[in-house]
Amino acid sequence: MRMDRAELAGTGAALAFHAALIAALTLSLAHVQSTPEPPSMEVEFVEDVGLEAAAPTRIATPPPASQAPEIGEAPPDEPAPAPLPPATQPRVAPTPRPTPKPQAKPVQAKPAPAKPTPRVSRIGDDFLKGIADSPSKSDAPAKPAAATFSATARQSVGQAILRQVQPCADRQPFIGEDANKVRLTINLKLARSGRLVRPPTVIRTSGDPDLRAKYGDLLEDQVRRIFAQCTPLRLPAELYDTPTGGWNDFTFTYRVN
Amino acid sequence: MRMILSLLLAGIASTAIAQDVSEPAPELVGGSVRTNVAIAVPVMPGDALGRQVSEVIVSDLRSTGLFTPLGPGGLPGYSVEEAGNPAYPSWRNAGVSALVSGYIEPRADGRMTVACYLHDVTAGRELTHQGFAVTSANWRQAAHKCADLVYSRLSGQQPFLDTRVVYVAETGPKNNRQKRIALMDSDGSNNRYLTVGRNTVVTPRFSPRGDKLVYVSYIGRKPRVLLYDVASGQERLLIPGNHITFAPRFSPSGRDVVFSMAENGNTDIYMVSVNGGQPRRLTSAPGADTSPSFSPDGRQIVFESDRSGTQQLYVMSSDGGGQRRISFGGGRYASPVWSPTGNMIAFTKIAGPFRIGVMNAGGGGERILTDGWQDEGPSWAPNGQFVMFHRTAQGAGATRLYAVPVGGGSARIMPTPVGGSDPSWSPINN
Repeated sequence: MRMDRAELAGTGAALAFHAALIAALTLSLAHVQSTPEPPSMEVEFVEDVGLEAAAPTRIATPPPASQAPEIGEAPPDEPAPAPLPPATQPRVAPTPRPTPKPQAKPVQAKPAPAKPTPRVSRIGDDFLKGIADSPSKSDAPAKPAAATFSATARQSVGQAILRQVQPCADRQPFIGEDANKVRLTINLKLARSGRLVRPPTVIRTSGDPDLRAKYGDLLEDQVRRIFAQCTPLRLPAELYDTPTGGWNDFTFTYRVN
Repeated sequence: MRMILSLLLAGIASTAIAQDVSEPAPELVGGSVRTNVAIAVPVMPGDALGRQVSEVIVSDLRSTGLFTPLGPGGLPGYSVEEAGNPAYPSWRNAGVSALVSGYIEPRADGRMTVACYLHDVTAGRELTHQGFAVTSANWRQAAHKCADLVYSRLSGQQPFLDTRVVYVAETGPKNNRQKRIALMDSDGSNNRYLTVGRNTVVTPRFSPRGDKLVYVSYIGRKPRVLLYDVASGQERLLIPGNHITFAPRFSPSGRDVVFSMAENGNTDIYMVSVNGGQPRRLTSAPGADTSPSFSPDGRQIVFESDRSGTQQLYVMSSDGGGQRRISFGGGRYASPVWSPTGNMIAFTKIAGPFRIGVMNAGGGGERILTDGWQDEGPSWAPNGQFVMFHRTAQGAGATRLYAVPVGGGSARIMPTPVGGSDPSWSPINN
């Protein structure tokens, strides 16, 4: 089986192209721009308020314009007047606002305002004011980059949900020696507030038919109690509803140990 | 070369596909905390009987060992309208997980309706409700039915609280004890005596429908099996003539009775129709074969026999075939009873003290449930979750009835007005 000239030429070109592509990718990946140390004030803000949503937020690429809604307390169903903006704020085109006044410390005013360095902290300067980030190069309002609900993001959000309700799951009473042989698949419909839009829905019950009949309702009761007690959930706002999915619709399995 | 390219492209493609494969759904694992569920049972509105109904419900729920019922005293009242729509937040503040509410309402036919609601206070929703129409004299039964509704919904088990117990009531000194057949509700109320105590009686057993009894009466110092109709109080000998018969028990259909009969120095197991006829012999091995008990499907019978030299448990088919020993745990075994669920056999284990135990229906998996000095005569609750038995105190010889949960836990004493032995738990009342 011999190749003719055209095939040889094509194959050679393809190999050369792949080699060039791999080299280019390797070099570009190796040149990750080093990010400067963030101003000290911003680091302090992270430690104050960034505990709950730190893991889920890290999966967002890139971070949204404003971080405030995702790291504060989940707003109630009826938004109450508060210094924090409502969860939907990043989606609303912000009106141009004057650049926040420079901090009192001279050292913080040093960064050149003309070309801001890439932000490392997820907390904006205006976190406490609940306003949009500073305008970038142009005077146009900052447009939040679209978040994607990648497999990694889905996994992290799932872990965050289960971690938040686990204390309530741990309190569920013993219902029978063989109850652990039944497993429910549960779907949640969540509001942006982190509350349930409707009660958890059992979409599948697996296990022995007799055991399903015996324990199915009791396990569903437990799931309802768990989410009645351990909601609202605190989750990254930008991942609530993206073009590739979001935590507004979440499915998991439940069993007892 | 083509092969190399194909492999390269296939590798790139498989990597891309692998990234799109959906992850399995994350799993939440709930705990299994061995704790009693706190249930509020406030006074039911609508009738003066409301407080008593609630008190019986509290007593029944406590007897299951699964709940910590609160009330009716000390709890706030509510209106008839609130029975189905309680203020969940206020009950949450009371520290309870569930609420039993309801009301009592007169009916046009002279009876009354006892409405029973069960609420999940934590989730803030109604779990179930049901109404029971009873005469005012039967208000206790409505309370038992309500308690059964709550027990079943919260435990996943079949009901067992609206039942009766027939037993041998024992009075008098140890050497001159009077023994009578007595019938009571499973909570000890409505106790009444079915025999007058002229003859010593033992081992009363309910029929599957609860309308008949079989028991042994010593007539002329010979044990004889009698068939007793609960409604009419009529009784008759199961086997006419002068035969020594004992250890009777109904078949699951209620149409036959298995029992032991001693003839020519050998005791064997027989079966006869409740309507009479010639008894059919099921065993013939040398020795004493006794205490037969049907499996709930009617296909097998467990019994005790000393054919091996000591009392042991054996299983055979209902026609007497395929007899095989199932007890090998050391010591002696007596009075086996097949569970209503079919998967276990309760027995009396004699190894020094007498203890109540259970084993798998096929043998093995033996567990001892009690720790008394002399515990014997097991009888299953109709849902298979409890075993009632009688315990003889060391020295005085007084006997009392106890019930122990099969899943583990302490035995609780049954409230009988006098000493009792040989209990038999009825099916659920209609």
